[in-house]
Amino acid sequence: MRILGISALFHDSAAALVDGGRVVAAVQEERLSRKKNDARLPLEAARECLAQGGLELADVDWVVFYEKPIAKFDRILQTSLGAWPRGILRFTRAMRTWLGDRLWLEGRLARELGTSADRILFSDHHLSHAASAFFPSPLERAAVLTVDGVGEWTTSAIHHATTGDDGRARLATVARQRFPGSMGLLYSAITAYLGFEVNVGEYMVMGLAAYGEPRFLPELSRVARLGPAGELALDMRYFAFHRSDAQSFSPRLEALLGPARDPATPIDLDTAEGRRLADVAASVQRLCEDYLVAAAREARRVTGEADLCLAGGVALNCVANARVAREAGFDRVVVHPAAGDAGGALGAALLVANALGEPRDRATLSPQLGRAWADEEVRGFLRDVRVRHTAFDDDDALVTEVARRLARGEVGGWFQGGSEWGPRALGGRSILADARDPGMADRVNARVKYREPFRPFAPAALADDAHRFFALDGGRYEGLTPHMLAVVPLTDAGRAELPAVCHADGTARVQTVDSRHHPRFRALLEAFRAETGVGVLLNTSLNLKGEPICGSPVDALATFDRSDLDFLVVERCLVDKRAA
Amino acid sequence: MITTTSDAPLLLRLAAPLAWRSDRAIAQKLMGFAATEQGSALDMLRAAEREADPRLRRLFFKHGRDEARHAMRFREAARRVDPRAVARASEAARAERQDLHERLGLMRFVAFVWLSERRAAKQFEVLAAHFARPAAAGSRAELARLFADIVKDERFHVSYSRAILDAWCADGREREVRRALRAVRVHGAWSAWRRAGRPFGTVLSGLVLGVVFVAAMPLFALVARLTRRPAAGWEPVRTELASLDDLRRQF
Ligand SMILES: [Fe+2]
Ligand SMILES: [Fe+2]
Ligand SMILES: [Fe+2]
Repeated sequence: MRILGISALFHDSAAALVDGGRVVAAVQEERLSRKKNDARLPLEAARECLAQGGLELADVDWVVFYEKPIAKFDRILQTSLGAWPRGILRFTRAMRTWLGDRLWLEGRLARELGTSADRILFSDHHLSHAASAFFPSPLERAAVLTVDGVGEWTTSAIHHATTGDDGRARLATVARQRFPGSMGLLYSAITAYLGFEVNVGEYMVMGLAAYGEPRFLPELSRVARLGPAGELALDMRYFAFHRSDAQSFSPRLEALLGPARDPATPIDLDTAEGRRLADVAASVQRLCEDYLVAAAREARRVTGEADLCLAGGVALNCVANARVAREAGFDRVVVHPAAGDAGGALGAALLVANALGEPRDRATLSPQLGRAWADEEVRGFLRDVRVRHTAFDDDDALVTEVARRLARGEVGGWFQGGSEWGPRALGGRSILADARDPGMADRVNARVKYREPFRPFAPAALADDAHRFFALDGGRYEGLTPHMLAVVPLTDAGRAELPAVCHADGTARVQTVDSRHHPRFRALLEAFRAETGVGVLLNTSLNLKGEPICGSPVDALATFDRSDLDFLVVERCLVDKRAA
Repeated sequence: MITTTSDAPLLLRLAAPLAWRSDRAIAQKLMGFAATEQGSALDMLRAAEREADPRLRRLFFKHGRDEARHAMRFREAARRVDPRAVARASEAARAERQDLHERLGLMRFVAFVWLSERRAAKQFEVLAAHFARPAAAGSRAELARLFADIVKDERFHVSYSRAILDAWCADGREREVRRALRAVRVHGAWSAWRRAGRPFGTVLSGLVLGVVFVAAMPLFALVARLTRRPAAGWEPVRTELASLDDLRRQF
């Protein structure tokens, strides 16, 4: 049975294809359309997934949308009415979108994808998240916790996943918290307050938090009341997201915490004002961690399970994930690489596959589920457009050359295999550099990323070498680090040897590289270890600031062109800056 | 050979001082250009990816790289003119690809490239002159240089696309080429008309809905407020989508 999953129309739309219970392909629309956080119907991504499976839409049995549109409309309608007479603009805008378009989603999906309406199904937002975390995991049974801004009505949910004697898995939501009690929306409101873009700047808040002290926790506890089991209640007088699309917090929040930051004013951590902003970030970050740990404990209590799967946008908070792994009392914690809404496309497809009796695929999920380019295709293209390059005939020669260049201090683009599923570059569409060089973070920033200085770069480490440099506490983070989903402390050796990836608080968001990753990426890390004695590289995504991660070789070349990277590797071709 | 009448850029020249009056307006306008250039970069790069003919592939690729570079230079210039306006506008004006190579087919695509590049070249020539004026008010040497540089590339885009069309004409496909040019012009006019039509509809339906909200909704609002369950804490539920009926439901 072939099932196409779709998530769309909020942010980060995506498509995923499941065939016979097996994941064939999954792609975010932004990687193809080149429009960051593209929320439109993922028509290109759907086409791409089908092409990867060698299928046409006529071959697809079911198309499943990742949430229930009418339940969501109900929430938006009730919230607008509850705010009457304020919120008129939001009301008219929402009604126009919904009455004109979204309520007829079934027909629109059928029309734009080119299928019939009776093949279209609708999952549930949080069940889609839950399915994305549980079905690809190695677990037979688990507690599943999903936490995000808001789905239809639900803002966090506890689900119970089990496997019967017949081998069929069951996944059911057993408890939920409802809008507006939402950690995701609170975090986003503070993101906006700190002058970052909502749904994009949350990582900056997490990075900034490392420089501050959570001294605003007493103030925040007036804004958001957190109970011992993770019960969350927001005082809506501090917020505006329920009555406005443009504004997420109210003037009352500024009266409490001080003035919000103007996005155009840079954060200077040497000033009192800069430190205040860092303290606000640290406070909301701490609250978020406390919430996630409490909610995870509650999930354990309710389900009685020993293992936990985690998904939803808040599960991209790698500092909080690591605390859950340490403190919530589970044996194993597993997070889906595309924990945000994009992941709902794959979750919805897997959920339908399971509900309709397809077997569960037990293979380890590769994080590179997008399109790959054959080496000959790449060579043909470079030849046609006359970009000078060196084509290597075997992997050994390629990785030896690249390792030598990196050890010399060069910064390079690295494009191999399918594009990554989820927000992190994991060695398929990466920029790589030597993490041993203390000046490297500044150099990568100045040449291509132009990031805020408080956002750290992450390391990729050979799994068998990682314990030397990172405090991995046995296998505690095994379900997180392969997808760069946990922030962990560096060891003394790590702090001494890897200054370029050590954050202000002595931590790093490490990726452990094992057999699930691209063999050429592992080979490169091994070659770099042979060259330098250290099997670790700085690994950041291959894109310019404000652009989505590269999808195709052409995107990579256009990025290379406008950056100061020393070289670019696409499959087995190496383009040198000086020659290009 | 293709011959067309060139429309005089008088209107452009007259409008320039108005559109480019303040730092903020200039920065915004430059960001707008950046988005347009980025959009055509995306289309040209995709065309290079899709095209089979190696020579066209190379030209489209070069064109795409040029436009991507232009976008970057416009963004940088905007940032220098007014960093605050740029920070606020930052993610608002994002480029979109139109997939024209695929949608129009090769000949109409090249016709489209030629027509729109010609328009861009003309516009940037006027702006280069505007900012190079000796009059103190509008003179900005940096922007004059920027536009002059970019115009050079735009002229190349005009000439290579025209050369492709000419080669097709010489091959005895002149009528096809003319038809393609006409189709692209008509298509352009149609989409411009559609853009002009939309805001009015938007305003009208917004007004109607606003009136509804204010006048007829208080009662419903009261009901919504009274029936609203207090949202706090975990609520036990049992939700499982186990059947096709569950999965067909939209609520
Ligand atoms: Fe979500
Ligand atoms: Fe241009
Ligand atoms: Fe151009």
